[in-house]
Amino acid sequence: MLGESIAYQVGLGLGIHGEPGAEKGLISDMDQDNFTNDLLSNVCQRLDAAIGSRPELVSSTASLAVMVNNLGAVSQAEMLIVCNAVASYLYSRTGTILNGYRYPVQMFTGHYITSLQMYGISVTILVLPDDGLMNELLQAPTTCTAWIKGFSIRPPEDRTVISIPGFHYEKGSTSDDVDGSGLNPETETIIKTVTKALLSHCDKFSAIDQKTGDGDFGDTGKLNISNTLSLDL
Amino acid sequence: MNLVVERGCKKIQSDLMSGKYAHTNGNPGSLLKAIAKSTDEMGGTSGGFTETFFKAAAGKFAEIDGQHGDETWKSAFVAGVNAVMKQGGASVGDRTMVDALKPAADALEKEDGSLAQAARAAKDGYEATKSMGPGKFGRSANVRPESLLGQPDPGAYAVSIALEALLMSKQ
Repeated sequence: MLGESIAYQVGLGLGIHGEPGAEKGLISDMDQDNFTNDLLSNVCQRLDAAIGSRPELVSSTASLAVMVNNLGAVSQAEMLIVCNAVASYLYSRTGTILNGYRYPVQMFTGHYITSLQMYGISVTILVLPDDGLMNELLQAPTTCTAWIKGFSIRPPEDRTVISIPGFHYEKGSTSDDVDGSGLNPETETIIKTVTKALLSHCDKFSAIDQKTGDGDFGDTGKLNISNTLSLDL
Repeated sequence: MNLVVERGCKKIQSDLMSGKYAHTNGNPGSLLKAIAKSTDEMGGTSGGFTETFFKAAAGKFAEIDGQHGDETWKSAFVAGVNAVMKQGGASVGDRTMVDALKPAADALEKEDGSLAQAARAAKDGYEATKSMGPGKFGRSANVRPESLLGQPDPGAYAVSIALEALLMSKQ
């Protein structure tokens, strides 16, 4: 019925053997979006408390491994909804971790540690150092059936369709159109990601510039730079 | 500044997707030079510096014979930063893009320097501009000190965003 919301009972911080959790309460179906954010901000705060004050750990961090674990009874569709919410949190400007730096994320999702009938999830965040060893170990082959290999996730605004080599999509195009950049896909992605990120901040640049500068960041025209670099590549 | 950055990024994107970089496949120096060419019409002082950065970085690849690996990319970045600093004359503390660029370059030059460290250094550099007074260079040079405090330099902010995005995209 319109106007009626359903409330569910939910526990936060439960133990896998049924130990009561840190918090318990009712959550309406309208609070769902905030639920994952609350859960993650909790985890991130604890991580920051443990690591954030140790500069040698912060400075050697290169990426994160995030494990979204199915405690037993959650459907795959729902797991993926949670994963998406986790990814959005980590890449949003409000989802900061380790002093506000953002990192590449490898996501792992599966039944890693479970209990019968537990309809819930747990989130674990691992801070990975830049020597690459942990990445190797996490991606190493194993015969353990429950271990599902992780995958890289990109910020939501940077997820693009990867074109299949040799396959050309039919589309109405002018003779000037080229399918793709001709560069290797990784290079193309890098260029797109960086330019998209800058474009998405354009109004912030303008706002700052209005307060601190002459408000145009160079509309006065290109500085004529005498070019001492002459290259012949 | 939004106009300059927007022009530059859109030109790069359109040049990319219309195949103008296709001939550089496998040749990083050539790609960097092509990107420099795309930034040619960006306009603004920062547009000039962006072009300088990419040209100097491209030059490093031309300089070094043989296989190009991570080390070449690091040297190219450092060369780009040095060229910008030389051209504009700004140093760290002047409240410009240099405040993010130079720390990033320094991070890469360290023995175990990584892109993550450079991105962090750039972010720290940009944050530091928030408490800087007007420098000799950059757009803040003619603004009253009181208006500046708490606001970052937009150029430093842009560098920080770009490096962070670069880190994100290399997985």
